Amino acid sequence: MVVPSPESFLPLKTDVLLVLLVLARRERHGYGILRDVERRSEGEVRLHTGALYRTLRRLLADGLIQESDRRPVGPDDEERRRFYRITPLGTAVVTAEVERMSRLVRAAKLIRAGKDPRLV
Amino acid sequence: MTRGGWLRRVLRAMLWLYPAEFRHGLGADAVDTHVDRYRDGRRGRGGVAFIAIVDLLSSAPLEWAAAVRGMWPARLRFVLRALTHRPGVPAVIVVTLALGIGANTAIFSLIDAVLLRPVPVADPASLVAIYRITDAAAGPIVPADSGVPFPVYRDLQPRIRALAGLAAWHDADVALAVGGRGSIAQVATVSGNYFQVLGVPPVLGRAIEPRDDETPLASPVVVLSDGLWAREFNRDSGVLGQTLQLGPTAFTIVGVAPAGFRGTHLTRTPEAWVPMTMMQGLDLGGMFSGRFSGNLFTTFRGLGWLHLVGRLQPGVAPAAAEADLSRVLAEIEPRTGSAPPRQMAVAPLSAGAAMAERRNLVAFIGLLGGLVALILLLACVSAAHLLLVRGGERVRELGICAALGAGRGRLMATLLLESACLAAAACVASIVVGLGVVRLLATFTLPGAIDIGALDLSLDWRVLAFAIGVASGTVLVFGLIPAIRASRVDPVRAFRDGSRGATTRGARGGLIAAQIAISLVILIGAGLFVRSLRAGLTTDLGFDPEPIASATVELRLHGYDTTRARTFYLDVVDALSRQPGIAAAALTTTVPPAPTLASPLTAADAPGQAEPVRATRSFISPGYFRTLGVPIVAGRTFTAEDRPGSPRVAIVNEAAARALSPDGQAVGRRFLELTEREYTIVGVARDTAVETLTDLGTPHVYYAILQEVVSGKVHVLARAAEPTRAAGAIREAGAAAGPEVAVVDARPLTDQIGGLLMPQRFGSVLLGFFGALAAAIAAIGIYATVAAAVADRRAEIGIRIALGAARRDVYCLVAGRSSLAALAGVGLGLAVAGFAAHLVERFLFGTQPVDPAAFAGATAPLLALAGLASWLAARRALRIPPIHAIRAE
Repeated sequence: MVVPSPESFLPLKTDVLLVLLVLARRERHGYGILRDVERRSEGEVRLHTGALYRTLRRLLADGLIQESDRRPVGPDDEERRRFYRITPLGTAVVTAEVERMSRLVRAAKLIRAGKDPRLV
Repeated sequence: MTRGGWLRRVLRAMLWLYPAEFRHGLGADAVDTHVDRYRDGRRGRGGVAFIAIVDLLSSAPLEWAAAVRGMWPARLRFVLRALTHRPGVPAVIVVTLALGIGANTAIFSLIDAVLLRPVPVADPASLVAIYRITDAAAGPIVPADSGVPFPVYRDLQPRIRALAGLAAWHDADVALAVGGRGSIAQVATVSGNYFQVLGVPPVLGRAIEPRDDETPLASPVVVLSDGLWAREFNRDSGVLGQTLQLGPTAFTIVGVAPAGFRGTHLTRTPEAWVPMTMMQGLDLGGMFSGRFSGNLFTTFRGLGWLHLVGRLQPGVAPAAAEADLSRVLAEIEPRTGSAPPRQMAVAPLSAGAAMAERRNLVAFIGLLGGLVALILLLACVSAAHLLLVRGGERVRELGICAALGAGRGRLMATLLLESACLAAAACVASIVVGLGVVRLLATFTLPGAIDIGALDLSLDWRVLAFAIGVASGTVLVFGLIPAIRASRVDPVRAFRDGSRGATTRGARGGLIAAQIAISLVILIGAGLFVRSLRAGLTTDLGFDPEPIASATVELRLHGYDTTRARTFYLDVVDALSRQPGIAAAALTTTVPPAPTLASPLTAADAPGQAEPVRATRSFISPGYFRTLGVPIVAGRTFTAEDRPGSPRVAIVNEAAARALSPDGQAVGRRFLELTEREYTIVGVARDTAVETLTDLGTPHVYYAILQEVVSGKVHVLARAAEPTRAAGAIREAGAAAGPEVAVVDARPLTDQIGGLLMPQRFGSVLLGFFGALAAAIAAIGIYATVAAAVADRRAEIGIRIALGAARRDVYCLVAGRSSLAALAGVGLGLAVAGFAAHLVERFLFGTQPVDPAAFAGATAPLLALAGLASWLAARRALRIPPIHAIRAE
């Protein structure tokens, strides 16, 4: 199977980047991701559940995240939370995206300083 | 019970709105996340629950879109592979449907263009056509030269209360000259209120107005059509006040009609409109010419030539207008003494356009419509049949898919996609076919000399959409049947014996019968038209057109007066007669059979005879009868002595002689034409066809063209062994006699007669083509059915052959049912054709509707073809090696 290059996923949408960043720290279940995104953006970004699962579905299909084996049983019998974790490819994509953004920021600063840098 | 259980249940239930993949996968987790947020309780619970429900609802379509997007490339690849793996049947389905849809669209576009498109005038719905009924049984008849006499129109116009306005018109071919160049144009002479009644304002200047038709010859004004304005005047708005030469009169241009306005015609567009009181100024000859004392056409009540169109008063129905008309007719009849039309009919203009002289056209168009509807039906039946056959073959395949866990929905989706692919391919192909048929149609002429090529004919997208809808529906429904059956098949049985079930066998038989019946009906129709065409080409015209060539000149366009014209005519005939290879040459104003002006003749020496004889007429030169090979049965033909100034002479045909002389001695008798001029009959000629191929025995009178020199259209005839070369000789002789004279339409006479048989030719070509196609499609269907039966019963056949079954028994086993169905189809087809043949009777020349040759000629080849198809397929059964078949079990 051909492994796609991390660059082929760039640029990432903000939602996607936030989800990946949350998962890069530790495994989370759905509601955990929502809470983390909300908390770390200080309430500025509020993901809807439907949108979150569309993002999760795509990330799963692309192999950037995977389901964790951890299946803690909740207070209710039928509640078997799925946990998601980032894959090495996902980590590479996040790294590439952060690198891309920082290059962009550097270039923006140079432009403001009156230079003429390479942009991308 | 934990909090939020109710919400979980609601949300879980809502997951049924999602694709199965999501429902079984992430769906439950998403619900849990919603519930987590609810339990968290940091915001109002009611709000969270509401948002959860809305969020789940609004996400469903997006998940579906993603699911379809993710799935369909693979499905499509699978379907395309299935279709192209064995492309024969799908290809036949696509071609069949494309032909059915394409032909339908093209023909219905034609019907729309000729019959249905509304006349481009204000509020066409309240316009009515008013017809004279000459024979109550025959319904309204408006032959080319009979409508309402001018005085009757003038009597009616002010008296009818049911109409807001009553206008009249008459079309004439007129010599038109612009800038020294001459041509022939169709000009409408109209009543002063014509434009007002139709509600059409001119785009430039003014229309013809009531003041223009008060006094004969007083108002030489003309309104140009948009076409003439564009062609000759480059749409110059300074055209008003310029003159336009029509016949011998210079008309002042006062206005231009809007583009697209064609009067009350549906197909022809007059080039210009002039007041009808200017009739005499157009030099049309006959009663309109100045040679009669006074203004005969404004006072003569014996000849109707005006067509009427009326605008209903608001709220008045055509029937009420008709009653009002009857009242007025009864009122004016005693007053005038002479007989106006006794009864007149009022019909909506749109319906009226479909009546009268257009009856043949309507019947013919109806025939075409019926034909293409049959073809669409056939296409759908064939497609359904082939899909069933193909589906039968695939029950095993689909059963295996089902056994491997493919759900009914997935099977259906796949088959639906397959049908959609077929339908899509058929749609694309049908547009190509439709455009092709439109192009083919443009080479034909409709009854009433409507040149299809001149119509604004484009594919009608509404019809295309309809036909595509019908065809796609058929494909989708019949394409799904195998999926439904496959989902019922027990997968184990599907593996074991590939059961193809007998459920569709009955349907297949019925579909075969229907296909054979439709093919047979079309083929019989083709046979009838071919026979009529042959009969028409060999019909007795009273002369043999084969060795005759004809060409046309119109000297007045070139400024010839009668003296110069006479010299020209004499020179041409003389030059032609001296040419080697030309047996005889002559002139005539009419080449039979062609529409001809008729006038009433009254016997001058039999005062008791009140009823005038209505006879068509032509002006001919002395060599006419020798050229056509028509014998003179009494008296003499014209001679050089019949010149201007000598006593007026005429030759009549046998029918006119009988009508004018009860004692049988026509020669020497005198008669009055139009109550004005007296002629002496010097000869009687054998009858010939006059206006149509079948009117042998209609009264006709010949006048001497060299005695009363006419300057209108004159045809030069030459008799020769090679008429094509003779046509060239006429052109040369014309050029030699007058270099500036245009000699047009030089061609063998058989070409012209061939043109009269256009409906038959058209019918033969179309019906023949589609009949052959239909038969081929039916044969393919039979082949496919028998082949499926063979494949179905491989094992059984193998065992039977091993046990020594006769070939005949094996054949009956696989092809018996199809053969019976085909025979039933033939029976049905013969019955339907026997009925339908009467519908086309009017187009049949010298051929009975139930013509044994046509019926047998269509049935025999079709049966042979059906037999061949089933034999070819069944032969494969006989080749099955017994051991192979048994091993397959």
